[in-house]
Amino acid sequence: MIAAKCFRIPSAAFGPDHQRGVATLIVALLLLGIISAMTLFSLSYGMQDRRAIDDEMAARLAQEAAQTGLDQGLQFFRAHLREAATDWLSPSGPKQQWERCMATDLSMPCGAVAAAVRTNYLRHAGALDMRDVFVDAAGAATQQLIVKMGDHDVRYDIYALLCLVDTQHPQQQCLDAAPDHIGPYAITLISYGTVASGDKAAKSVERHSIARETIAPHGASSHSAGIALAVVPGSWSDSDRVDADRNYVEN
Amino acid sequence: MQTATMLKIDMDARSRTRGSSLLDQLTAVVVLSVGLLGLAGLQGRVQSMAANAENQTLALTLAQSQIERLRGLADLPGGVGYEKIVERTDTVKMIGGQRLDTPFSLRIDVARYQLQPSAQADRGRYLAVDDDAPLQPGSPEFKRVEVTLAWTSKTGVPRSVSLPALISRGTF
Repeated sequence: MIAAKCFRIPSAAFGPDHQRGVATLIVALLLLGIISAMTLFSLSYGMQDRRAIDDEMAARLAQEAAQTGLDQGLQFFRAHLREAATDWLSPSGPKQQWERCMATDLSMPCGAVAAAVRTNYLRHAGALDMRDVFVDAAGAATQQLIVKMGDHDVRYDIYALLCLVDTQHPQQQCLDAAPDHIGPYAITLISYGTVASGDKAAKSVERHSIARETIAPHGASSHSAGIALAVVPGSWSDSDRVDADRNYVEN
Repeated sequence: MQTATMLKIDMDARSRTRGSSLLDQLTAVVVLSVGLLGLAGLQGRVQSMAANAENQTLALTLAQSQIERLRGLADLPGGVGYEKIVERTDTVKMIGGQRLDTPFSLRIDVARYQLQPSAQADRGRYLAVDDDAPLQPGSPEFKRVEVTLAWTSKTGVPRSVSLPALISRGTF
């Protein structure tokens, strides 16, 4: 009897009474683990949601940046309307700025024109340099009037195409040689907007958008009513339609 | 005597066991409480982030629609609408007949630029002019507009979204 009681002393210390406490702790830790996993899952979902929203915002800002570039380009041509179809066109003249698109040129902006009529278009050499007419708040010449949208840095490059409208052969869209006398003409502006997406800690991804508009300052629109210009007004931000060399080719 | 000693030892062991069980349970409660409090805080932050993201998207949508409205105004013939693009403030409480949980304060800042003669440039330069400067027919000009939507988050933090744009007068 005594031996039995003596034997129970150590066993009681690790017996069912004590085990109940440890079990509670284990159950509590298990519960905590399950709730932690659920919360982390929810947190991860929330973060993904946040990233998707940031990405969408960046895409929309890229679209706004492209549109802003287009508006600035329009103002640039308003300031240069007189020489745009005269001095800039004069072959071998000191101020010549339009050059004919090559058939194989897929760079901006010639690559945006359908291959069949590409050589009928003239491109403004490179992206427009607009520093001669725009100044920033401090009075310094600037290429971009808007460099920031919200917390995002924005960039836009503006390209221009000139079409000397071929009223005799609408299928050609534009004359394939510069005439002595300038008739109706149309200038197509292509603005390429870029916005960096993602916070500083995360991997930064750039979002792009293109906006385009054709302007017909000298009554070209009345002559070109039956001409389907290869580059049409409009803007969109579907990055799938912007290929690697930054052009959208009409099908 | 020996039996009494054994019984005492047995009782001491039982009481120690009960004490230990209570301590374990208290520890479990404390660990669980601290963990749950931390997780609740985290969950609160996630919800706050989601609400903020939703408001940010809504603010950007509102800013874009305001800019589109102003572009539409500028396209009205004769510069009538263009002249109506002026600075203003407002409060947006409803969209499409639905009351917003968070009201937005709207501010539109406008700066006007005109092509003016300049010694540094052949064609002149776009320089800022006063709002009440007369329109010069044929002279290029545009307005730099900045639409700002501000709101206060549920945690009381002021937030805002600004969208700048250039708006031209009339069609080309």
